Amino acid sequence: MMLVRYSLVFLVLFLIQTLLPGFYFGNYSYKPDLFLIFLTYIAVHHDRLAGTLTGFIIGLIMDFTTQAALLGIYAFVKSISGYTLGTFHQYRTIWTLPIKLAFLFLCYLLHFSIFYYVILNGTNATLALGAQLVFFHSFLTLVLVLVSDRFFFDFYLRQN
Amino acid sequence: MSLIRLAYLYREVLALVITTVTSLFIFFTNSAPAVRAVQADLAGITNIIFAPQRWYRNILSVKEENRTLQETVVQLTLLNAKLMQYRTENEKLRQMLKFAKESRLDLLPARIINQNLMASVHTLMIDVGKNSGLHADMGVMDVHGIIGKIISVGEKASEVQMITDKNYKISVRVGDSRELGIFSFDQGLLGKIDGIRKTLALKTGAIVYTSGISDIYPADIPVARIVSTRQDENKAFQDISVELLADIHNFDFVFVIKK
Repeated sequence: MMLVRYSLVFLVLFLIQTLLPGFYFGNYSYKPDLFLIFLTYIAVHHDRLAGTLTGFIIGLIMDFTTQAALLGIYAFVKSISGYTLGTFHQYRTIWTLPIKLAFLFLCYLLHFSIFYYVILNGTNATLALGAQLVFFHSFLTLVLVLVSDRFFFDFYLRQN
Repeated sequence: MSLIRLAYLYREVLALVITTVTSLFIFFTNSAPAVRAVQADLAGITNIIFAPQRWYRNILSVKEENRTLQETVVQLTLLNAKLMQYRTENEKLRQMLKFAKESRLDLLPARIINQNLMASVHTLMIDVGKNSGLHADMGVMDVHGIIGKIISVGEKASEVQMITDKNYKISVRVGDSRELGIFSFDQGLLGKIDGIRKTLALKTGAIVYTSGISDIYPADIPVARIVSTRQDENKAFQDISVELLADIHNFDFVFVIKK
């Protein structure tokens, strides 16, 4: 039953992610990664194993539906993110809110750092641009998680 | 502890390893420029990580490499010496070939196989004999001048009496009037000409040639160069000192004068 529910949520998110337009900040387009938020939800509610496997599956689906040139990159970053975010589950009753937010932010930084390193490698993009993209996407994802936690889904952020 | 139990205990790490390895495998099968750039970066990192190992291996292999290189150096030095020898030999042979083509004489090239300068008779052995139509009393020369004559002939080798032998005499002509004289060896590269009257004016550096009187040597083959002349009142003839033209100390090949 839980699997069906998650699958339905994933399908809805897939539609939103596909139809959602990116917004411009400066010369670059930013688009929130709703699958990463969904992965965060799975990982903090279950454990590292669930996070890793879910991340891998979501990543593979993203790989096959969004791009073909770098097949496997989403599966790789989402698997690692699923594992690291799964750590949250073990300490959800111990960590305070600032630590939880800092940890989530670090996980997102790791996720987007790996992703943009591969995407921008071999291009003319500067390190500053890469850092800007990584930081803003990480921040945006964290804000969306906070909003979701406040209004829609429980991410165990306020529970000790 | 069974493998299954271990796998269950470390299932999270195992899942991470399997998923990351699988995704990386899929990723590196692509040929996009970004993938190649990542591969290049990873190669650079691997290079740095394994640098100490390579350094350690290099240290271990230096001794063996040094020994091998020393052996190679010795071999190459020997080879180089051999090649230098071949070059010298080649130059001599080319010079001889040119001489044989330009000479009016019928010359048969021969290789020196033995040289005996310590015996009472200065001789050398050459590698041609009766099988090449040789017989005793045939003249032998190099590209510069007379060397000697054949004194005995075998089937495939012959013995040559050298011009440096004390008992060796050649009938020669000197000067513009081509006066007859007798050449005999003295010492070193020097010889003397006997029988030339004192009134004959001779120039230092003039060449002495065979006379052609004997059956051994055709006429006008260079023998020696005049070094000095001296008139002694108590002697009937002048003293003429000459220097041999033939390179008697450094030769490998000679010509037998067939006619």
